[in-house]
Amino acid sequence: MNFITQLYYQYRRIWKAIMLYLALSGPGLVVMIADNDAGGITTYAATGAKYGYNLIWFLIILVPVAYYVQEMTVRLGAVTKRGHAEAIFDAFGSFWGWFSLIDLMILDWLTLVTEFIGMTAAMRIFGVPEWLTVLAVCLLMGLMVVNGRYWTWEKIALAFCFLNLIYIPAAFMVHPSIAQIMKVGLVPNFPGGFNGDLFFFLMANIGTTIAPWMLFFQQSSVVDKGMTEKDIPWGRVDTWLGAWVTIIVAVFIVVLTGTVLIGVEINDAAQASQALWQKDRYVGAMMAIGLFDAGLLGAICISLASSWAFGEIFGWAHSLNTKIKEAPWFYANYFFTLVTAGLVVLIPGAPLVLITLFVQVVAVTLLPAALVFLILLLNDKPTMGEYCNSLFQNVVGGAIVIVIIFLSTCYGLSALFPHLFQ
Amino acid sequence: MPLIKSIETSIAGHVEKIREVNRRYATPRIKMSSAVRISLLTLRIYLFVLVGLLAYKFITVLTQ
Repeated sequence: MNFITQLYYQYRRIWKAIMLYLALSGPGLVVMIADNDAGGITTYAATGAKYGYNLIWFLIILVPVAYYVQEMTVRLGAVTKRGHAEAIFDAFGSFWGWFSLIDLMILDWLTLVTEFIGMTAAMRIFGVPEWLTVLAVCLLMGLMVVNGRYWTWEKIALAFCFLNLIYIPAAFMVHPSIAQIMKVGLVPNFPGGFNGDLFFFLMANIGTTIAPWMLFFQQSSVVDKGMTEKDIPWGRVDTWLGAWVTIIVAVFIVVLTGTVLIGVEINDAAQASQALWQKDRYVGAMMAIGLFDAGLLGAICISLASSWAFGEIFGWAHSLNTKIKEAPWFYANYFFTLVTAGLVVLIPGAPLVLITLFVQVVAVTLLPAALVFLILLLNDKPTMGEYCNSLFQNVVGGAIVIVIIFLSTCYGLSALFPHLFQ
Repeated sequence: MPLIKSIETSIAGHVEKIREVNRRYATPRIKMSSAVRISLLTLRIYLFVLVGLLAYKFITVLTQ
């Protein structure tokens, strides 16, 4: 009897913990999975097609990298109750504040254009015209925010996150060799030696793992959700889980293209979908659906990151818990960014390739600054108190930040000077 | 005319808002320790070099 009581007690305890997590989960999962945006899917598809399963180990290393950086935004948001833009303005003054805000606005808008490029390309495979995709996405994203509740927005976003898992069954459908994955994928190796091509792919993978908008988004999201210091452990769990899910999805994309498209040069994910479609219609369709979903998730988060940042600085009401008439500028910014980015894709002959390259370049002007500010803010004892970075966190976080800055800078420079690392 | 007037008023309102933001955040709140100073200086140099490279690339593309 005592055993059954104990068992029941444990069951209740675990169930309560799960329920509490479900109530507090969201920002970490959404931001991490949205990190697998249209650009990210292209990078992973190209990595698999070029190197097969060989770089899976490198993707797994990126789990703690993503976690350590994003975890700092959880603590900063929960303790200061301020978004990242406002925290930079407050701590470092208006020069660095405006620099970050304007850079973020440009970068977010350009990235949003690339998300629309991905979504329209994915839907083109099903014969859906570009204008219809753009219109449908704008309407859907409009409907997600007009109800005036953060909770509703987050749960819809989480449903789209769930759809991101479509790559897992798609990878199983192409019957990859599990033995081969274990043998070459999980053992660190540099296929063909450490050359310029491989370095480019490593840079691209790390470049897609941490994007500047993620720092701004997660911190603002933590604040809008109303998380406090006591919720930090749950925020950590959420971020850790999100980091794993995003990398697992990335690994399955690599497995998918590494099994079917090995040796094929992939320039974008839509091309990978078409190539897969020719081999297996269902797998090709799943790849295209995943690409659309990835672009949509990216668009959902990126457009909000800008609106939150502007609202924080200009003192406008800037919460998803407010109605449109209560926060007109917040929603005006959201819709303006969204609609203009969508319209660019519809312009005949728009320099879409140039925009995609420009995203990488602008990202390296903002990412190092945002990361350095993050570390400095987490060491601000008067504000952070007991949630200040420990020595261990500074060593690990600092090392990760230095590596990310170095590799993302190289990645950005490779967009400017394509032959630099060849 | 009322439209132009309202646009003018809106722009003036935004300019005033920007001034207010500048006033509010005129002084950095964080303690300027040597680590902070060095980090910000390194960041300035990094951005200066990066903008230089961007300008160089832009000029190279234009003159080609």
